[in-house]
Amino acid sequence: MSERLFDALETCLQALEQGETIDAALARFPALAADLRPILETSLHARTLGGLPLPEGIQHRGRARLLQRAAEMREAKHAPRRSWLVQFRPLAVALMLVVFFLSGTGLVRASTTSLPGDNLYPVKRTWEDVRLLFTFEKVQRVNLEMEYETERLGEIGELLAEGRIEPISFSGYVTAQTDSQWTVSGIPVAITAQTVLSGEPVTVGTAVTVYGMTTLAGSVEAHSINTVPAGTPIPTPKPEDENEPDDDEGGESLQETEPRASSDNEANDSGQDSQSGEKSKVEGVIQSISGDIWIINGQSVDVNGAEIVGAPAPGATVTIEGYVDANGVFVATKVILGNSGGSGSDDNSDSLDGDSNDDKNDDSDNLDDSNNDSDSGGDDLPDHDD
Amino acid sequence: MTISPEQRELDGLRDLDPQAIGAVYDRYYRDVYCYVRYRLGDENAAEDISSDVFVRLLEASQRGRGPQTNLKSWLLGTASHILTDHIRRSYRCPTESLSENALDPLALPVDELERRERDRSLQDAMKQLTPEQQHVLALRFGEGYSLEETAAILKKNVNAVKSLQFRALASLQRGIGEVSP
Repeated sequence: MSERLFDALETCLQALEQGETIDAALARFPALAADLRPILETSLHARTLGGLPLPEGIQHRGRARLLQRAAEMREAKHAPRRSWLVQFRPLAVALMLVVFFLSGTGLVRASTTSLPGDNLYPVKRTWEDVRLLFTFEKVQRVNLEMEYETERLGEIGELLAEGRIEPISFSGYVTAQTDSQWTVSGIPVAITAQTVLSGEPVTVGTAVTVYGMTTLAGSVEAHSINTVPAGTPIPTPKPEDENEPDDDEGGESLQETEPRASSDNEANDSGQDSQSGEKSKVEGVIQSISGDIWIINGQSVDVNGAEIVGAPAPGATVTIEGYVDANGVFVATKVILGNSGGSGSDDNSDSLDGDSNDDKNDDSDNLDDSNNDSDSGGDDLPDHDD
Repeated sequence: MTISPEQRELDGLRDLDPQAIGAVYDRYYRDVYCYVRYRLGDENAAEDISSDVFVRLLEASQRGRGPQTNLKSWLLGTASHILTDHIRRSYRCPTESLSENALDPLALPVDELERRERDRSLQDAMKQLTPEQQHVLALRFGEGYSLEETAAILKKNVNAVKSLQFRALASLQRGIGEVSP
Protein backbone atom coordinates (compact mmCIF):
# COMPACT_ATOMS: atom_id res chain seq x y z
CA MET A 1 0.00 0.00 0.00
CA SER A 2 2.68 2.48 1.04
CA GLU A 3 4.76 1.70 -2.04
CA ARG A 4 1.74 2.51 -4.20
CA LEU A 5 1.35 5.74 -2.28
CA PHE A 6 4.99 6.70 -2.84
CA ASP A 7 4.75 5.91 -6.56
CA ALA A 8 1.48 7.82 -6.84
CA LEU A 9 3.03 10.84 -5.12
CA GLU A 10 5.95 10.81 -7.54
CA THR A 11 3.60 10.58 -10.53
CA CYS A 12 1.54 13.49 -9.22
CA LEU A 13 4.66 15.58 -8.49
CA GLN A 14 5.82 15.10 -12.06
CA ALA A 15 2.35 16.06 -13.32
CA LEU A 16 2.45 19.26 -11.25
CA GLU A 17 5.87 20.05 -12.69
CA GLN A 18 4.31 19.72 -16.14
CA GLY A 19 1.80 22.39 -15.16
CA GLU A 20 -1.18 20.22 -14.25
CA THR A 21 -3.46 21.18 -11.37
CA ILE A 22 -3.68 19.12 -8.17
CA ASP A 23 -7.17 17.92 -9.11
CA ALA A 24 -6.02 16.78 -12.55
CA ALA A 25 -3.08 14.95 -11.06
CA LEU A 26 -5.16 13.27 -8.37
CA ALA A 27 -7.74 12.13 -10.90
CA ARG A 28 -5.31 9.29 -11.75
CA PHE A 29 -5.51 7.94 -8.19
CA PRO A 30 -9.02 8.54 -6.85
CA ALA A 31 -8.56 6.00 -4.05
CA LEU A 32 -5.47 7.82 -2.76
CA ALA A 33 -6.65 11.38 -3.37
CA ALA A 34 -7.56 12.09 0.24
CA ASP A 35 -4.09 11.09 1.45
CA LEU A 36 -2.19 12.77 -1.34
CA ARG A 37 -3.94 16.13 -1.58
CA PRO A 38 -2.46 17.79 1.55
CA ILE A 39 0.96 16.48 0.66
CA LEU A 40 0.77 17.84 -2.87
CA GLU A 41 -0.37 21.21 -1.50
CA THR A 42 2.65 21.20 0.80
CA SER A 43 4.92 20.35 -2.14
CA LEU A 44 3.65 23.41 -4.03
CA HIS A 45 4.31 25.44 -0.93
CA ALA A 46 7.82 23.96 -0.63
CA ARG A 47 8.55 24.78 -4.25
CA THR A 48 7.93 28.51 -3.64
CA LEU A 49 11.03 28.70 -1.43
CA GLY A 50 13.29 27.78 -4.31
CA GLY A 51 14.21 29.91 -7.30
CA LEU A 52 14.54 33.20 -5.42
CA PRO A 53 17.05 35.62 -6.96
CA LEU A 54 20.54 35.98 -5.51
CA PRO A 55 21.02 39.04 -3.29
CA GLU A 56 23.02 41.73 -5.07
CA GLY A 57 26.82 41.59 -4.77
CA ILE A 58 26.84 38.37 -2.82
CA GLN A 59 28.56 36.34 -5.52
CA HIS A 60 31.35 38.90 -6.04
CA ARG A 61 32.07 39.07 -2.32
CA GLY A 62 32.35 35.31 -2.07
CA ARG A 63 34.51 35.10 -5.17
CA ALA A 64 37.01 37.62 -3.82
CA ARG A 65 37.19 35.78 -0.50
CA LEU A 66 37.76 32.44 -2.21
CA LEU A 67 40.53 33.75 -4.47
CA GLN A 68 42.18 35.39 -1.47
CA ARG A 69 42.12 32.06 0.33
CA ALA A 70 43.55 30.33 -2.75
CA ALA A 71 46.40 32.86 -2.85
CA GLU A 72 47.20 32.13 0.81
CA MET A 73 47.22 28.41 0.11
CA ARG A 74 49.53 28.92 -2.87
CA GLU A 75 51.89 30.92 -0.70
CA ALA A 76 51.88 28.28 2.01
CA LYS A 77 52.52 25.63 -0.61
CA HIS A 78 55.65 27.41 -1.80
CA ALA A 79 56.88 28.32 1.65
CA PRO A 80 60.63 27.82 2.18
CA ARG A 81 61.77 24.28 2.67
CA ARG A 82 63.24 25.13 6.03
CA SER A 83 59.79 25.25 7.62
CA TRP A 84 59.21 21.76 6.28
CA LEU A 85 62.47 20.62 7.79
CA VAL A 86 61.65 22.20 11.12
CA GLN A 87 58.22 20.65 11.08
CA PHE A 88 59.50 17.17 10.36
CA ARG A 89 62.73 17.30 12.33
CA PRO A 90 61.36 15.13 15.17
CA LEU A 91 60.25 12.60 12.59
CA ALA A 92 63.64 12.69 10.93
CA VAL A 93 65.40 12.18 14.25
CA ALA A 94 63.13 9.25 15.02
CA LEU A 95 63.83 7.80 11.61
CA MET A 96 67.54 8.29 12.15
CA LEU A 97 67.36 6.42 15.44
CA VAL A 98 65.41 3.58 13.87
CA VAL A 99 67.93 3.30 11.07
CA PHE A 100 70.76 3.48 13.58
CA PHE A 101 69.39 0.52 15.50
CA LEU A 102 68.70 -1.33 12.32
CA SER A 103 72.24 -0.70 11.18
CA GLY A 104 73.39 -2.23 14.44
CA THR A 105 72.03 -5.52 13.17
CA GLY A 106 73.86 -5.12 9.91
CA LEU A 107 70.75 -4.37 7.87
CA VAL A 108 72.04 -1.12 6.41
CA ARG A 109 75.45 -2.65 5.82
CA ALA A 110 73.88 -5.65 4.14
CA SER A 111 71.83 -3.36 1.93
CA THR A 112 74.86 -1.56 0.48
CA THR A 113 75.30 -4.14 -2.27
CA SER A 114 71.59 -4.45 -3.04
CA LEU A 115 70.20 -3.57 -6.45
CA PRO A 116 66.85 -2.17 -7.59
CA GLY A 117 64.24 -4.87 -7.08
CA ASP A 118 66.06 -6.45 -4.12
CA ASN A 119 64.28 -6.59 -0.78
CA LEU A 120 66.96 -4.52 0.92
CA TYR A 121 67.16 -1.88 -1.79
CA PRO A 122 64.62 0.45 -0.10
CA VAL A 123 66.80 0.30 3.05
CA LYS A 124 69.80 1.39 1.01
CA ARG A 125 67.95 4.32 -0.57
CA THR A 126 66.40 5.38 2.74
CA TRP A 127 69.80 5.38 4.37
CA GLU A 128 71.12 7.55 1.54
CA ASP A 129 68.24 9.97 2.06
CA VAL A 130 68.89 10.10 5.79
CA ARG A 131 72.57 10.83 5.21
CA LEU A 132 71.69 13.60 2.78
CA LEU A 133 69.12 15.01 5.20
CA PHE A 134 71.76 15.36 7.87
CA THR A 135 74.50 16.69 5.62
CA PHE A 136 74.22 20.43 5.94
CA GLU A 137 77.63 21.45 4.56
CA LYS A 138 77.11 22.33 0.90
CA VAL A 139 80.32 20.83 -0.53
CA GLN A 140 79.90 17.59 1.37
CA ARG A 141 76.31 17.37 0.26
CA VAL A 142 77.26 17.80 -3.40
CA ASN A 143 79.94 15.12 -3.00
CA LEU A 144 77.44 12.78 -1.42
CA GLU A 145 74.86 13.38 -4.14
CA MET A 146 77.52 12.73 -6.75
CA GLU A 147 78.52 9.53 -4.96
CA TYR A 148 74.92 8.32 -5.00
CA GLU A 149 74.44 9.18 -8.66
CA THR A 150 77.59 7.23 -9.49
CA GLU A 151 76.20 4.36 -7.41
CA ARG A 152 73.00 4.42 -9.51
CA LEU A 153 75.07 3.99 -12.68
CA GLY A 154 76.94 1.08 -11.13
CA GLU A 155 73.68 -0.56 -10.06
CA ILE A 156 72.23 -0.32 -13.54
CA GLY A 157 75.42 -1.75 -15.01
CA GLU A 158 75.07 -4.74 -12.68
CA LEU A 159 71.38 -5.19 -13.50
CA LEU A 160 72.18 -5.20 -17.22
CA ALA A 161 75.06 -7.61 -16.72
CA GLU A 162 72.80 -9.96 -14.74
CA GLY A 163 70.03 -9.65 -17.34
CA ARG A 164 67.46 -8.47 -14.80
CA ILE A 165 64.35 -6.47 -15.65
CA GLU A 166 63.75 -3.80 -13.03
CA PRO A 167 62.34 -0.26 -12.97
CA ILE A 168 65.18 2.26 -12.56
CA SER A 169 65.99 5.93 -12.83
CA PHE A 170 69.35 7.63 -13.15
CA SER A 171 70.98 10.88 -14.25
CA GLY A 172 73.87 11.36 -16.62
CA TYR A 173 75.19 13.08 -19.71
CA VAL A 174 74.12 12.08 -23.20
CA THR A 175 77.28 10.98 -24.99
CA ALA A 176 75.81 9.47 -28.14
CA GLN A 177 72.47 9.76 -29.91
CA THR A 178 70.67 7.95 -32.68
CA ASP A 179 66.94 7.90 -33.36
CA SER A 180 66.37 4.71 -31.41
CA GLN A 181 69.27 4.57 -28.98
CA TRP A 182 71.14 7.02 -26.81
CA THR A 183 74.09 6.50 -24.54
CA VAL A 184 73.75 8.25 -21.21
CA SER A 185 76.88 8.18 -19.04
CA GLY A 186 77.84 4.87 -20.56
CA ILE A 187 74.38 3.28 -20.20
CA PRO A 188 72.70 2.32 -23.50
CA VAL A 189 69.17 3.74 -23.49
CA ALA A 190 66.55 2.52 -25.98
CA ILE A 191 64.19 5.25 -27.21
CA THR A 192 60.75 3.99 -28.23
CA ALA A 193 57.61 5.63 -29.58
CA GLN A 194 56.26 5.61 -26.02
CA THR A 195 59.24 7.45 -24.55
CA VAL A 196 58.15 10.82 -23.24
CA LEU A 197 60.74 13.55 -23.70
CA SER A 198 60.26 16.69 -21.67
CA GLY A 199 62.25 19.80 -20.95
CA GLU A 200 64.83 21.35 -23.27
CA PRO A 201 65.88 19.74 -26.57
CA VAL A 202 68.44 17.03 -25.87
CA THR A 203 71.76 16.88 -27.71
CA VAL A 204 75.08 15.19 -27.00
CA GLY A 205 76.41 16.68 -23.80
CA THR A 206 72.98 17.44 -22.29
CA ALA A 207 72.43 16.28 -18.71
CA VAL A 208 69.27 14.18 -18.40
CA THR A 209 67.38 12.01 -15.97
CA VAL A 210 66.13 8.74 -17.42
CA TYR A 211 63.17 6.80 -16.02
CA GLY A 212 62.69 3.36 -17.44
CA MET A 213 63.25 -0.35 -17.18
CA THR A 214 66.33 -2.50 -17.64
CA THR A 215 65.87 -5.09 -20.38
CA LEU A 216 67.32 -8.43 -21.35
CA ALA A 217 68.79 -6.71 -24.41
CA GLY A 218 71.40 -5.07 -22.18
CA SER A 219 69.93 -1.60 -22.38
CA VAL A 220 67.49 0.57 -20.51
CA GLU A 221 64.12 1.07 -22.17
CA ALA A 222 63.29 4.71 -21.46
CA HIS A 223 59.74 5.58 -20.37
CA SER A 224 60.54 9.24 -19.93
CA ILE A 225 63.58 11.47 -20.16
CA ASN A 226 63.82 14.90 -18.56
CA THR A 227 66.57 17.45 -18.88
CA VAL A 228 68.32 18.25 -15.63
CA PRO A 229 68.56 21.80 -14.27
CA ALA A 230 72.03 23.36 -14.34
CA GLY A 231 74.06 22.81 -11.20
CA THR A 232 72.65 19.37 -10.41
CA PRO A 233 75.48 17.01 -9.45
CA ILE A 234 75.84 14.40 -12.19
CA PRO A 235 78.68 11.94 -12.76
CA THR A 236 80.81 12.76 -15.80
CA PRO A 237 80.69 10.22 -18.61
CA LYS A 238 83.80 8.16 -19.12
CA PRO A 239 85.81 8.72 -22.27
CA GLU A 240 85.42 5.77 -24.62
CA ASP A 241 89.07 4.70 -24.49
CA GLU A 242 88.91 4.40 -20.76
CA ASN A 243 86.52 1.53 -21.05
CA GLU A 244 89.42 -0.57 -22.28
CA PRO A 245 91.55 -2.47 -19.81
CA ASP A 246 94.14 -0.15 -18.40
CA ASP A 247 97.65 -1.42 -18.55
CA ASP A 248 99.19 1.94 -18.12
CA GLU A 249 101.35 1.96 -15.10
CA GLY A 250 101.20 5.67 -14.82
CA GLY A 251 98.70 7.57 -12.81
CA GLU A 252 97.12 9.45 -15.65
CA SER A 253 93.94 7.47 -16.03
CA LEU A 254 91.01 8.12 -13.80
CA GLN A 255 91.41 6.03 -10.75
CA GLU A 256 89.17 5.20 -7.85
CA THR A 257 91.70 6.39 -5.36
CA GLU A 258 90.88 9.42 -3.38
CA PRO A 259 93.15 12.24 -2.34
CA ARG A 260 92.04 12.19 1.23
CA ALA A 261 94.09 13.73 3.95
CA SER A 262 96.25 11.08 5.52
CA SER A 263 99.49 10.62 7.33
CA ASP A 264 100.35 7.25 5.85
CA ASN A 265 101.02 8.49 2.39
CA GLU A 266 104.21 6.65 1.69
CA ALA A 267 104.48 7.92 -1.86
CA ASN A 268 104.12 11.46 -0.84
CA ASP A 269 107.39 13.27 -0.98
CA SER A 270 106.22 16.48 0.51
CA GLY A 271 107.57 15.58 3.86
CA GLN A 272 104.77 17.27 5.68
CA ASP A 273 103.62 15.57 8.84
CA SER A 274 100.31 17.21 9.36
CA GLN A 275 97.28 15.11 8.63
CA SER A 276 96.04 17.78 6.32
CA GLY A 277 98.15 19.91 4.06
CA GLU A 278 100.06 17.14 2.32
CA LYS A 279 100.92 18.06 -1.19
CA SER A 280 99.76 15.81 -3.96
CA LYS A 281 99.14 15.86 -7.67
CA VAL A 282 95.86 14.62 -9.03
CA GLU A 283 94.13 14.21 -12.34
CA GLY A 284 90.53 14.08 -13.39
CA VAL A 285 87.77 15.57 -15.47
CA ILE A 286 86.05 18.81 -14.58
CA GLN A 287 82.35 18.14 -14.04
CA SER A 288 81.19 21.55 -13.00
CA ILE A 289 82.56 24.95 -12.16
CA SER A 290 80.97 27.12 -9.55
CA GLY A 291 83.22 30.11 -8.91
CA ASP A 292 86.34 28.89 -7.13
CA ILE A 293 84.83 25.49 -6.38
CA TRP A 294 85.20 22.96 -9.15
CA ILE A 295 83.81 19.47 -9.05
CA ILE A 296 86.36 17.02 -10.43
CA ASN A 297 85.35 13.36 -10.54
CA GLY A 298 82.86 14.00 -7.78
CA GLN A 299 85.36 15.75 -5.54
CA SER A 300 85.21 19.44 -4.70
CA VAL A 301 88.39 21.36 -5.38
CA ASP A 302 88.98 24.91 -4.20
CA VAL A 303 90.97 26.71 -6.92
CA ASN A 304 91.00 30.08 -5.20
CA GLY A 305 94.56 31.44 -5.50
CA ALA A 306 95.72 28.60 -7.72
CA GLU A 307 97.84 29.14 -10.81
CA ILE A 308 95.62 28.07 -13.70
CA VAL A 309 97.23 27.05 -16.99
CA GLY A 310 94.74 26.74 -19.85
CA ALA A 311 91.04 27.45 -20.20
CA PRO A 312 88.88 25.54 -17.72
CA ALA A 313 85.55 24.12 -18.90
CA PRO A 314 83.29 21.24 -17.83
CA GLY A 315 84.46 18.03 -19.46
CA ALA A 316 88.10 19.12 -19.69
CA THR A 317 90.85 16.89 -18.33
CA VAL A 318 92.83 18.58 -15.64
CA THR A 319 95.93 17.99 -13.56
CA ILE A 320 95.97 19.63 -10.18
CA GLU A 321 98.64 20.13 -7.59
CA GLY A 322 97.48 20.94 -4.13
CA TYR A 323 96.73 19.67 -0.67
CA VAL A 324 93.81 18.74 1.54
CA ASP A 325 93.11 21.35 4.16
CA ALA A 326 91.93 20.82 7.71
CA ASN A 327 88.30 20.88 6.58
CA GLY A 328 88.89 18.05 4.16
CA VAL A 329 88.67 20.31 1.11
CA PHE A 330 91.22 19.80 -1.62
CA VAL A 331 92.89 23.16 -2.19
CA ALA A 332 94.61 23.53 -5.54
CA THR A 333 97.88 25.44 -5.88
CA LYS A 334 98.37 24.78 -9.57
CA VAL A 335 95.88 23.74 -12.22
CA ILE A 336 96.92 22.55 -15.64
CA LEU A 337 94.20 21.98 -18.23
CA GLY A 338 94.68 19.05 -20.59
CA ASN A 339 97.06 16.14 -20.12
CA SER A 340 100.23 18.18 -20.30
CA GLY A 341 100.64 18.31 -16.61
CA GLY A 342 100.15 14.61 -16.05
CA SER A 343 103.01 12.19 -15.97
CA GLY A 344 102.77 8.47 -15.80
CA SER A 345 106.04 8.33 -14.02
CA ASP A 346 105.06 10.76 -11.38
CA ASP A 347 104.74 8.86 -8.15
CA ASN A 348 102.82 11.62 -6.61
CA SER A 349 100.17 11.67 -9.27
CA ASP A 350 96.71 10.71 -8.08
CA SER A 351 93.16 10.89 -9.32
CA LEU A 352 90.11 12.46 -7.84
CA ASP A 353 86.88 10.64 -7.36
CA GLY A 354 84.21 10.11 -4.83
CA ASP A 355 84.81 6.50 -3.88
CA SER A 356 85.51 6.08 -0.24
CA ASN A 357 85.94 2.31 -0.33
CA ASP A 358 89.37 2.45 -1.77
CA ASP A 359 92.01 -0.03 -0.84
CA LYS A 360 95.58 0.96 -1.34
CA ASN A 361 96.63 -2.57 -2.26
CA ASP A 362 93.81 -3.23 -4.59
CA ASP A 363 92.99 -1.17 -7.61
CA SER A 364 90.32 -3.57 -8.83
CA ASP A 365 87.62 -1.16 -7.77
CA ASN A 366 88.53 1.17 -10.54
CA LEU A 367 85.11 2.09 -11.88
CA ASP A 368 86.60 3.22 -15.12
CA ASP A 369 88.06 -0.14 -15.74
CA SER A 370 86.04 -2.96 -14.35
CA ASN A 371 88.32 -5.44 -16.10
CA ASN A 372 91.37 -3.88 -14.70
CA ASP A 373 94.37 -6.09 -14.51
CA SER A 374 95.16 -6.42 -10.86
CA ASP A 375 98.77 -6.95 -11.71
CA SER A 376 99.08 -3.59 -13.30
CA GLY A 377 99.61 -2.02 -9.98
CA GLY A 378 100.48 0.98 -11.98
CA ASP A 379 99.00 3.35 -9.64
CA ASP A 380 100.81 2.45 -6.57
CA LEU A 381 99.30 5.68 -5.61
CA PRO A 382 99.11 6.96 -2.13
CA ASP A 383 96.12 5.90 -0.20
CA HIS A 384 95.33 8.70 2.13
CA ASP A 385 92.71 6.83 4.00
CA ASP A 386 93.23 6.98 7.67
CA MET B 1 43.39 10.79 -24.70
CA THR B 2 41.08 13.77 -24.26
CA ILE B 3 40.46 15.34 -20.89
CA SER B 4 36.90 16.27 -20.01
CA PRO B 5 36.19 19.92 -19.09
CA GLU B 6 35.26 18.80 -15.58
CA GLN B 7 38.56 16.93 -15.23
CA ARG B 8 40.37 20.09 -16.38
CA GLU B 9 38.51 22.04 -13.71
CA LEU B 10 39.49 19.51 -11.06
CA ASP B 11 43.13 19.64 -12.18
CA GLY B 12 42.99 23.44 -12.03
CA LEU B 13 41.65 23.31 -8.48
CA ARG B 14 44.46 20.99 -7.46
CA ASP B 15 46.98 23.41 -8.95
CA LEU B 16 45.22 26.37 -7.26
CA ASP B 17 44.86 27.97 -10.67
CA PRO B 18 42.90 31.23 -10.08
CA GLN B 19 41.19 30.99 -13.45
CA ALA B 20 39.94 27.47 -12.83
CA ILE B 21 38.85 28.36 -9.29
CA GLY B 22 36.94 31.39 -10.56
CA ALA B 23 35.26 29.33 -13.28
CA VAL B 24 34.15 26.62 -10.85
CA TYR B 25 32.90 29.21 -8.39
CA ASP B 26 30.91 31.12 -11.00
CA ARG B 27 29.34 27.95 -12.32
CA TYR B 28 28.24 26.44 -9.05
CA TYR B 29 27.87 29.29 -6.56
CA ARG B 30 24.23 29.92 -7.32
CA ASP B 31 23.28 26.27 -6.83
CA VAL B 32 25.14 26.01 -3.56
CA TYR B 33 23.83 29.30 -2.19
CA CYS B 34 20.22 28.56 -3.14
CA TYR B 35 20.46 25.09 -1.64
CA VAL B 36 21.73 26.45 1.68
CA ARG B 37 19.25 29.32 1.73
CA TYR B 38 16.42 26.91 0.99
CA ARG B 39 17.26 24.83 4.01
CA LEU B 40 18.12 27.66 6.39
CA GLY B 41 16.02 30.57 5.20
CA ASP B 42 18.77 32.90 6.39
CA GLU B 43 20.62 34.86 3.71
CA ASN B 44 23.57 35.88 5.90
CA ALA B 45 24.22 32.37 7.13
CA ALA B 46 23.73 31.04 3.60
CA GLU B 47 26.43 33.41 2.32
CA ASP B 48 28.92 32.31 4.98
CA ILE B 49 28.21 28.62 4.56
CA SER B 50 28.41 28.80 0.76
CA SER B 51 31.84 30.43 1.03
CA ASP B 52 32.89 27.68 3.41
CA VAL B 53 31.84 25.03 0.92
CA PHE B 54 34.18 26.37 -1.77
CA VAL B 55 37.07 26.80 0.65
CA ARG B 56 36.62 23.17 1.68
CA LEU B 57 36.67 22.22 -1.98
CA LEU B 58 40.11 23.84 -2.36
CA GLU B 59 41.43 22.25 0.81
CA ALA B 60 40.13 18.82 -0.13
CA SER B 61 41.64 19.11 -3.62
CA GLN B 62 45.02 19.93 -2.09
CA ARG B 63 44.87 16.86 0.12
CA GLY B 64 43.82 14.69 -2.81
CA ARG B 65 40.44 14.06 -1.22
CA GLY B 66 38.37 16.27 -3.47
CA PRO B 67 35.71 15.14 -5.92
CA GLN B 68 36.82 12.70 -8.58
CA THR B 69 33.90 13.13 -10.96
CA ASN B 70 30.65 14.88 -10.02
CA LEU B 71 31.67 18.29 -8.72
CA LYS B 72 28.17 19.66 -8.12
CA SER B 73 27.12 16.58 -6.21
CA TRP B 74 30.23 16.89 -4.03
CA LEU B 75 29.52 20.58 -3.38
CA LEU B 76 25.91 19.99 -2.35
CA GLY B 77 26.89 17.03 -0.18
CA THR B 78 29.51 19.15 1.57
CA ALA B 79 27.02 21.99 1.97
CA SER B 80 24.66 19.53 3.64
CA HIS B 81 27.35 18.46 6.13
CA ILE B 82 28.28 22.03 6.99
CA LEU B 83 24.62 22.92 7.38
CA THR B 84 24.03 20.04 9.74
CA ASP B 85 26.95 21.23 11.90
CA HIS B 86 25.65 24.79 11.73
CA ILE B 87 22.16 23.77 12.80
CA ARG B 88 23.57 21.67 15.64
CA ARG B 89 25.62 24.63 16.85
CA SER B 90 22.68 27.00 16.59
CA TYR B 91 20.62 24.68 18.80
CA ARG B 92 23.31 24.96 21.46
CA CYS B 93 23.72 28.76 21.07
CA PRO B 94 20.48 30.10 19.61
CA THR B 95 20.69 33.52 17.95
CA GLU B 96 17.99 35.76 16.56
CA SER B 97 18.24 36.70 12.89
CA LEU B 98 17.90 40.43 12.45
CA SER B 99 17.26 40.43 8.73
CA GLU B 100 13.50 39.88 8.98
CA ASN B 101 12.75 41.38 12.37
CA ALA B 102 14.61 44.60 11.66
CA LEU B 103 12.02 45.61 9.06
CA ASP B 104 8.98 47.59 10.07
CA PRO B 105 5.96 45.35 9.24
CA LEU B 106 3.76 48.41 8.75
CA ALA B 107 5.95 49.61 5.89
CA LEU B 108 5.25 46.49 3.81
CA PRO B 109 2.25 45.75 1.54
CA VAL B 110 -0.24 43.18 2.84
CA ASP B 111 0.60 40.65 0.13
CA GLU B 112 4.27 40.84 0.97
CA LEU B 113 3.51 40.48 4.66
CA GLU B 114 1.42 37.36 4.00
CA ARG B 115 4.11 35.86 1.80
CA ARG B 116 6.72 36.46 4.47
CA GLU B 117 4.51 34.97 7.13
CA ARG B 118 3.90 31.90 4.97
CA ASP B 119 7.60 31.49 4.25
CA ARG B 120 8.41 31.87 7.92
CA SER B 121 5.97 29.12 8.81
CA LEU B 122 7.47 26.92 6.13
CA GLN B 123 11.02 27.63 7.32
CA ASP B 124 10.10 26.91 10.91
CA ALA B 125 8.48 23.65 9.86
CA MET B 126 11.50 22.82 7.71
CA LYS B 127 13.78 23.12 10.75
CA GLN B 128 11.82 20.36 12.44
CA LEU B 129 12.69 17.86 9.73
CA THR B 130 15.66 15.54 9.89
CA PRO B 131 18.77 16.66 7.91
CA GLU B 132 18.10 13.91 5.37
CA GLN B 133 14.50 15.04 4.87
CA GLN B 134 15.64 18.64 4.45
CA HIS B 135 18.30 17.47 2.00
CA VAL B 136 15.81 15.65 -0.22
CA LEU B 137 13.34 18.56 -0.26
CA ALA B 138 16.09 21.07 -1.05
CA LEU B 139 17.30 18.94 -3.94
CA ARG B 140 13.87 18.20 -5.38
CA PHE B 141 12.02 21.47 -4.78
CA GLY B 142 14.84 23.97 -4.23
CA GLU B 143 17.26 22.76 -6.93
CA GLY B 144 14.67 21.09 -9.17
CA TYR B 145 16.51 17.77 -9.49
CA SER B 146 14.63 14.77 -10.89
CA LEU B 147 14.02 11.70 -8.76
CA GLU B 148 16.92 9.86 -10.42
CA GLU B 149 19.36 12.76 -10.02
CA THR B 150 18.39 13.14 -6.38
CA ALA B 151 18.92 9.43 -5.84
CA ALA B 152 22.40 9.66 -7.37
CA ILE B 153 23.38 12.58 -5.12
CA LEU B 154 21.99 10.92 -2.02
CA LYS B 155 23.57 7.61 -3.08
CA LYS B 156 20.26 5.86 -2.52
CA ASN B 157 18.02 3.86 -4.81
CA VAL B 158 15.01 5.50 -6.41
CA ASN B 159 12.44 3.71 -4.23
CA ALA B 160 14.21 4.85 -1.08
CA VAL B 161 14.08 8.44 -2.33
CA LYS B 162 10.36 8.13 -3.12
CA SER B 163 9.73 6.98 0.42
CA LEU B 164 11.99 9.67 1.88
CA GLN B 165 10.33 12.51 -0.02
CA PHE B 166 6.87 11.27 0.96
CA ARG B 167 7.80 11.24 4.64
CA ALA B 168 9.55 14.61 4.32
CA LEU B 169 6.49 16.27 2.77
CA ALA B 170 4.17 14.64 5.29
CA SER B 171 6.34 15.89 8.17
CA LEU B 172 6.51 19.33 6.63
CA GLN B 173 2.77 19.44 6.28
CA ARG B 174 2.33 18.49 9.95
CA GLY B 175 4.96 21.05 10.91
CA ILE B 176 3.21 23.87 9.05
CA GLY B 177 -0.01 22.95 10.82
CA GLU B 178 1.74 23.15 14.17
CA VAL B 179 3.58 26.41 13.63
CA SER B 180 0.74 28.25 11.88
CA PRO B 181 -1.41 30.34 14.22
